[in-house]
Amino acid sequence: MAMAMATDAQLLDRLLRGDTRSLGEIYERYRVPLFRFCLRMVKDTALAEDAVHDTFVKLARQHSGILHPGALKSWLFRVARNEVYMILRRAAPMPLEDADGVLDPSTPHDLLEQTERASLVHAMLAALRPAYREVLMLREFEEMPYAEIAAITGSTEGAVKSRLFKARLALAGSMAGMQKERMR
Amino acid sequence: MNTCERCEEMMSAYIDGVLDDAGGAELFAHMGTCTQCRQTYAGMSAIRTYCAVAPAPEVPERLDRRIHRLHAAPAARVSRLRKVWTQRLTIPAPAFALALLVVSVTVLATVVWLRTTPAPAEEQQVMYIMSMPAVEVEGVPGRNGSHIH
Repeated sequence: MAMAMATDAQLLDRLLRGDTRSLGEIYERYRVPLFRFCLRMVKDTALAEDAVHDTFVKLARQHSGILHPGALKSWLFRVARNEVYMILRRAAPMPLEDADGVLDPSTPHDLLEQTERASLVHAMLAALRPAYREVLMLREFEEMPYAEIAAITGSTEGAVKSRLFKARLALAGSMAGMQKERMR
Repeated sequence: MNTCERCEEMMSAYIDGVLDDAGGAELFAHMGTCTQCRQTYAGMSAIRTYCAVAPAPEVPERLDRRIHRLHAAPAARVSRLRKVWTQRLTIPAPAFALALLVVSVTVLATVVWLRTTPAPAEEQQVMYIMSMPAVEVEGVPGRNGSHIH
C-alpha cells in the first residue's frame, strides 16, 4: 500500500519539532516551481540558484515565523520573490514595481529575436517588467488565485488582476508585432 | 472605454475563469464580429498554451547538493547523539550488574574503613596527651592512685 504524502502543514509541523529531514521533503516538493519562478525572474541560472538556496536557508532559520502552516507554499514564494528583487535591485538600481510601461527596457533586443531557438512566448515573457512577469508566472505556471498572488507580491487582488490584464495585452501586442515582422 | 477595450479586460478575466456567463456571452458575441479582438484574444491566451507545454527547467545538481548540506548536517548531529544514547542503553545486563556490585562493595568498604580508623588529627592528639607528664590534681587520683593533700 502506498504511503500517503505528507501535507505542507505536516511537514512544517515536523520541521518545527526539529526534524530537519522535512526540510529536504519540502525542497523536493517545491524545487522545480521555485527554481522556475526565480529563473524566469532573474534570467540567470546561478542567480536563480542563489535565490532558491537563500529561501531555504530562511526556511531553516525562520520557519517558526510561519503563522499559518497551510500557507507554506505562499511563504516560500514570498521569500523567493524578496530574494529575486534583492538580486534585481543589485543588478539595476531602479524602481521595479512602480515603473511605467509593461515591457522591460533593459531586455536585450536580440533576446526578442531569438524566437527561432526559444519559444516566442518565452521571449515575450522574459521581456516583461518584473512586476508583470511575476503575476503571470504565479498565475499561469503555479495556477494561484488572485488572493494568493496578492499575498505573495504584497499588493491587492485588484492590482493583480490589472497587472495580469496588462501583461497579457502586452504579450498579445508583442506577438502581433513579431508575426508582422516575420511575414515581411 | 469602447467595446474593444471592455472586451480586452473581459478576455483576461475569461482566461482566469472568473468572468460570469453574461460577460462571456458579450465577449464572444463581440469577437464574432471583431477580427482585431480575436487576434488579441489569441495572443493573450498564448501564454496559457505555452505554460501547458513548456518543459520544466532542469534544477542544477549543485543546488540540490547545497540544500542537502543544509538539512543533512543537523540531522547527522542528531543521529550521532542518538547513537551514543542508544549505546548507553544497550549495555548488557550482566556487565551492568557486575559494575553495580563493584561500586556497592567499594562504597561499603570505604564507609566501614572510615568508621573504624581514627582521623589522623585525632590520632596525633591522643599520642600527644599520652606523652605529657602526669599532673596530679587535688582530689583526683594520680596515675599511681595517690592523692595530693
